[in-house]
Amino acid sequence: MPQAIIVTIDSDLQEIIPSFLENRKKDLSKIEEYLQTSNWSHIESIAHKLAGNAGSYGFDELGHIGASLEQACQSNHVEAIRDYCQQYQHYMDHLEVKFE
Amino acid sequence: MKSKKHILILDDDLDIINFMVKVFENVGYGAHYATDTDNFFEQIKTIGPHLLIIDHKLGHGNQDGLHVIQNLKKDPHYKNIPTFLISASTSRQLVTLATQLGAEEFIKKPLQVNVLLQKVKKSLKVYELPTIEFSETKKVKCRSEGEIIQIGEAALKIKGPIKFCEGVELLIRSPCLDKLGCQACRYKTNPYQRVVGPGEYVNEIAMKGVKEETARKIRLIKATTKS
Repeated sequence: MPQAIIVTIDSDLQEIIPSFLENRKKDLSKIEEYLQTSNWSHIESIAHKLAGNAGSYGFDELGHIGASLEQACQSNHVEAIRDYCQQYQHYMDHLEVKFE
Repeated sequence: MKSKKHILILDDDLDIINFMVKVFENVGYGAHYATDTDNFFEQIKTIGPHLLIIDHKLGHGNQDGLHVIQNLKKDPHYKNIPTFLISASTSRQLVTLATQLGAEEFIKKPLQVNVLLQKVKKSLKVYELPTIEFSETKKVKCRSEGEIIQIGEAALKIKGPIKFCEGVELLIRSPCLDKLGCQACRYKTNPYQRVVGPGEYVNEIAMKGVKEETARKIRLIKATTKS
């Protein structure tokens, strides 16, 4: 069984975490659509926001994935784009949030 | 009791907005937000915020965050509101440009709660106006600039940063009034006051002791302006 990605978040932010995670699911669903139509600029826009917001909430690794995906989109590196999108999906599939 | 400080955020990312609103509300600030520039400027007028936080990249259909700061700093009504630029970019050029345009702080994304709050707290303290406790002070002397926007033979209207109570005696220094021969006039505020913008009021002031020659000059101004 794949290992869970456990992230500990400040309990002051507990109230806003569900909507943040819900929005990431929406991101992934849009990304799937944009990958099919090779719409890199829309993926870049999602990645740019992810790079700025995920780390702020405490999801540092997810923020790095966002920054790398944004960069891959800017350089039109299709293979890297697909790879980072998969990493995004994988991260969300295995994420487990704890509060302290 | 100190009044609550209000922060207005402009960002097109609702997740970052939710994050900042939560962080600010947790420590007792009033947090407001806009996702587009039109709504942002609208809210500045209605809220009268103490601090503005603006994202650099504002998405399609919006001005760039730097342009928003440039417009704010050109406007005499808003130029003194402390303004922060936030961005995922750390380019030296961007930081320099933001500072040159008048941004008080540049904050890098991802945001760190302690850094954000520390800078906000510091900025609000620097720009805080002195608080006057009226329960302890019966008379307050103050001086400010204003603009005469209307004049009649018995009263004038002045636009400025102070909202006066009725019956306040004023000493007005104005080359324009001197030219009209008002040196010996006495001024007292009428009950009329109107808010015309954030921190900007129009007060009607009664003029006593207006000489006939002065009244004639005022009538002449009014006649010239009308024609």
